[in-house]
This record gives sequence, structure tokens and C-alpha cells, in this order.
Amino acid sequence: MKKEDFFNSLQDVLEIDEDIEITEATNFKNMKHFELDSIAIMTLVAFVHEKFNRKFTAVQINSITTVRSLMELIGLDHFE
Amino acid sequence: MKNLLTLENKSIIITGASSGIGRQCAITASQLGATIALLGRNKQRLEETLAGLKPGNHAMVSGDITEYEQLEERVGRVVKQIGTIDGFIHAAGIEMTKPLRVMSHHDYESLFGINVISGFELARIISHKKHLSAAGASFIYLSSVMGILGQPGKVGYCASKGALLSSVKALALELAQKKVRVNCLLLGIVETEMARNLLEEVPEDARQSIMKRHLLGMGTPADVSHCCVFLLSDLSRWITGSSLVMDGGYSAA
Repeated sequence: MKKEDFFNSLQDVLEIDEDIEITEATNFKNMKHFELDSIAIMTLVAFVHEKFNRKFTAVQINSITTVRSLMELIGLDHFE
Repeated sequence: MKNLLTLENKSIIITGASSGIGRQCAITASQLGATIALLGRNKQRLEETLAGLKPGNHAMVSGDITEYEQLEERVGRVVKQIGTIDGFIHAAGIEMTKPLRVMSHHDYESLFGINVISGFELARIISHKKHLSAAGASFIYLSSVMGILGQPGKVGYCASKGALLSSVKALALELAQKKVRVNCLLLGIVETEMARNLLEEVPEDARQSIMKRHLLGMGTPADVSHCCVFLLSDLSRWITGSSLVMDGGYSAA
């Protein structure tokens, strides 16, 4: 998947404000008007499973900080 | 003294018999003398269940129970082998933890197909007089406390389990004239592979909260099977149209 498409999909599915530009360095834990709460975590788990056929445990999800760390968890080889 | 809890000379169809609760229900029912027809998707796992039953003229039919056009033929085959049906447990089911935001109509269709529609279709087919025991039967649907409670990320699952709960009264009323009783169990978390996978996915704080609310701990497949064999037996002859909560106290809070 193209990184740009991944960032756009993340922004949409997590309903992150459009004025925030998502990059690899974007930190889920200190974004304006966004909280990585249990719903967001469940949404991420479902999104990753659907798009990449990868299933994460709660421990793995809790280790995520930045978009890059999520991409590493998914596997960087999945991204162009 | 006559053993009051017996399933001797009863033929029981059980869906979801490849694993977990369905498997244990089959084993327990066979130990009480029932002849069992095992329905499930995974042939190898069905064979493992079959090997665990008390020996008897048990049947096994592997296949997807959402292939609705095939169900009539499968039930017919079962009846040919084990005789007319005295009991039916719909233990087949899938769980889905997905927030509304990422649900699709395919997800709802999957949930309702396995959890609900296949159960109703089998009830329709089994309750036909050519398949049904002349003495009547007991149908049991395995629902969930999620059918009466809510939880984020479970809109589809809750809806499907709620559908079972709300249908039981209508089914019981309609099938009473055929001496078919219909009841439902609303289960808390039971130690199965499905439950273990589910608990791995939820955040730690949510998992702790869930476990704390199960005052008597998680249930076991045997806990559920014990209640099922009671409902299958003549001991429960006056119980129909009911939903029994079995959740270790989870919904009492």
C-alpha cells in the first residue's frame, strides 16, 4: 500500500482532524482532538486486520506510539 | 433409584460441534445416553469430537450451515441414521469486535447468517413432522449476555445475540403445538478458543474489567453443557420460551 494512501485511510477511519497532517512521525498519543482510547484501539485492530490481514494483541497495540511504529508492527514491506 | 437426568433414546442435533461449547455439549449428552448428530465446518475437528463421545450410532455432517439450500438434505441424512430428532442445540456462532465505524453490511450478514438465520432454518427443518420425534423436542439457542447488555465495538454481535433472545418466545409459542420447547441461554465469557482470542485483542484495562465482573470466574464448556442437558431432558418439560442467564454474575452488577 502506498504510504500516502495509508496515512489518508488512517486519518479517515480514526476521524483525525483534517488540519492535522499525518506523517510517519505523527504520534497517536499527543494529537490534537484525538485520544487513543479503547474504541480507537479496536478501530485500529479492525482496520489493520482488514487491510493487511494482520491481527494484533492488546499488548502489541499498546506499544504503538507513532504512525511509524504502527507501520513497523504491520511490516514495512507492506508499504511503498 | 431411577436416574432422573437421562437422555437415553434421544437423538440430538448440535451445531458448532467442532469445538468449544458445542463439542462439550455433544460429549456430555452422549454420556447421558443420547445419540448425537454433529454439525460443523471443520471435518477433522468434528472427527475429534466424535472420538470423544460415548460410543453409539452417532452421525457427523461437515459443512457450512449458512449454505441454507443444503440444510434440508443434511438433516434428512441425519434422521435416516439416528432417527427422528428429540433435541437441537444451536451452538454455532461467531464473535466480532469491530466498532461501528469499520463495520460493513458484509459483517452484519456474516454474524446474522451463522448466529441467527442458520439456527432458525434448522429449527424450521427439524420441526417438520418427518424429522421431529413424535414425543416432541427441546431446542436450545446459545445466546450471550451481550444480547441484553451493550459494549463498545459489538453492535453487530449484540444485535445477533439479541435476535436469538427475542425470537425464543415466538418460536416457543409457534412450536408448542408440536410439543417443541424452545429456550435460550445467555452466556458470559466461557473458556474457549474463541474467548481466548477475544481477550487477547482487547486492551488490558478492558480485560481486567471484564474478568473482575465475572464474580464466579469464567465459565467452562462443561458448565454450559450441564445446563443444556437439563434443558434437553424431561426434567425441564415445563420450561419453554425462557432465557436463562449463565454468566458467573457478570450481568448482576
